[in-house]
Amino acid sequence: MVSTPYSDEIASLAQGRRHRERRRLLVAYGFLMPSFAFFIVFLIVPLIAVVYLSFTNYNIVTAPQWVGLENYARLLQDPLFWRGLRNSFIYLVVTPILIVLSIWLAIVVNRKLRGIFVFRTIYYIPAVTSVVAVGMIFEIVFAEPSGLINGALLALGVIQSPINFLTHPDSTLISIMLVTIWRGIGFYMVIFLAALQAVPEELYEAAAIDGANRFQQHLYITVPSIRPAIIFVAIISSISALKVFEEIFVMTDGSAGVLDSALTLMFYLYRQGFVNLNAGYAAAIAVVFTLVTLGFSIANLRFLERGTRDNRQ
Amino acid sequence: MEGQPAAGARDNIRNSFAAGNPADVINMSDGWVAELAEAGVLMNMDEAVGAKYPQIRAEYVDGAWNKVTFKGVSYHIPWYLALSNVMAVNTLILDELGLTLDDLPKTWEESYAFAKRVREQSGGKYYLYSFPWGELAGLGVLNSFVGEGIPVYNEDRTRVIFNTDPRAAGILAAYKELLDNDYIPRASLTDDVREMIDRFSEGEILLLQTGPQLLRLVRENNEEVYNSLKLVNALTGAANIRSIGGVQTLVIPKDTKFPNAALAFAIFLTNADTQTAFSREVPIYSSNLKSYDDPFFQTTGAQLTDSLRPLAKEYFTTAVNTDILNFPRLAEVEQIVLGEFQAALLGVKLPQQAVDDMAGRINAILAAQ
Repeated sequence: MVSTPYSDEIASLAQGRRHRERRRLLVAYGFLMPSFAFFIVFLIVPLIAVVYLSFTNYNIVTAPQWVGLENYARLLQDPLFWRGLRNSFIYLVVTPILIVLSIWLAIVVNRKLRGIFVFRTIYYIPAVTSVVAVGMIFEIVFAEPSGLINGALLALGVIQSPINFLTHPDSTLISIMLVTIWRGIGFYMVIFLAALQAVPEELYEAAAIDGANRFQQHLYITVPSIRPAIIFVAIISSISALKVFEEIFVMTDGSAGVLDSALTLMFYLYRQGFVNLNAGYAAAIAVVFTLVTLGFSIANLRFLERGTRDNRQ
Repeated sequence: MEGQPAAGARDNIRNSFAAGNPADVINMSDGWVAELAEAGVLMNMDEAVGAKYPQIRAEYVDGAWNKVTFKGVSYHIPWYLALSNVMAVNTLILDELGLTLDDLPKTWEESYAFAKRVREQSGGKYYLYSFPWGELAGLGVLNSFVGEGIPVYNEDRTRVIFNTDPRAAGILAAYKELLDNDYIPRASLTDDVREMIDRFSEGEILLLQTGPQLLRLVRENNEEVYNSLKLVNALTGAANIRSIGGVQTLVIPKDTKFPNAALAFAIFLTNADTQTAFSREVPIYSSNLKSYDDPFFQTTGAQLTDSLRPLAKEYFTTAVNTDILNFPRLAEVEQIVLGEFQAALLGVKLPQQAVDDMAGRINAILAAQ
């Protein structure tokens, strides 16, 4: 190596820069470390633990014992597991309903009217209300024979006998889905409202000049413009629907309804893990549930993104 | 000493065992003992008390000592008890219908026709009773079999055989008829105990089948109804069995570092003097029969439930354990009974088919032990 008069200075400058770079990295990692540790302890470790426990007969109280694939083999022959899976997919019906109603409500409140914020606030209130309170209110709404709906319909002579909202196996899940829709509309409305406010007003003016009516304007301008928000809502609301638990627990007093008619996979996981103390089996349900949710979300995302690409082409 | 809020206490106790640091003496209700006994983490009380304090075992109410057993062994010491041989009557309804306490049914069999009478005589305004089947159907149905004298187990207790007695299906058929004809509220299918008490407090139900200690909820809900209450003997089955009611228990972890001290403390808490002193403070009943020799249990007080105090000794001396809490995998057994019971009531299965399936599924659990 050829020595120059400045070589020592250059080396010293380079070393200083390396020091600064190292210190900068250390500071960055220092700031990242708490959340990374939190992530490891409360997400990665439990995730690995659940996968491990799914191969054991863990009962929460005593040490787990390895049982291999026994839990997974049992799942395949468990009719309640399949009922839970079926009901979880039925529950997904709330997603398109929520999307359509939330977009409609967002369009309704996306106006420059005096006091419109009052309506926006009112519609959002269910989203910030405790699910326990909502469940108790809807138990009164759905009560038989003198709940809010049955009492009113009987008094008006519309029905002769009360509707069995929560005491008939065919209507229990639907009744609970209605509660989820009622709770979710306001929350998703806010997301769509934010997306709507980014749509240029000129597009609607141009469409109106071209003769498009209000419905056509929303169909050809609003919906494509807020597509990213729709994809986002579709994914998070479908994940929420698949893992619904609280509404079912509160509305059925922890029983999953008559004849287990509102038993979803998440509820079955809870029952096996925390009521029957079959935590190893519950862990197997959790693993399958996670894979199902993951697969469904990826498929959902691909489907919706393909729609976006097709539209662009 | 560590107090636990009732909500979440069960999970906290389970977690303490999982973490290897449970308290040395734990108070829990009878329904929680079975899973821990089955997991093999509790001290065998028959053995421990028999070895250390052989003279005191006989002091305890026998049905309470054996309320929960696993493979024939008791893993708890009974603490305080509830009376289950009374029911509350809303005399406002009774008066409105022109009935007296003497008109009330004495047995479940009589009650079915009376339920129809109350509904029809009140023009559909009142029901005779409602049920908390959303929460307690499993235990309640099996207890009603026992109450009617239907044998639950075979002789060596390896199988359940209640389905071979046609009266079991008959009970389900009777309930189905009550439900189909609106002689009981349809919400009984999903109500829990609290909702059943609320329904009674609203003044639409004539009889409340629950422990008298829960009547405070009626007072909190509706003082007018509470002030009209009268307590009478509960409905009985054909076998006229007095079953032991709810039992609060003390359990000791098998691996406690202080087995002798823990046992001594549990014995102290449940001795006659301590429990009598406790009974003076709160309306509970002692699991120690010697408590009832205290003059306090011959007195009555201002409260409605105080009138029951002098009857307690005779009741607890004769009340028996119905063995319903002694199934392995009890929670699953409850779910099986509830599911089959609902299937019969909703007409998904014929009553006989439902009790056959109930027994078959329970026997599969017993066979797997």
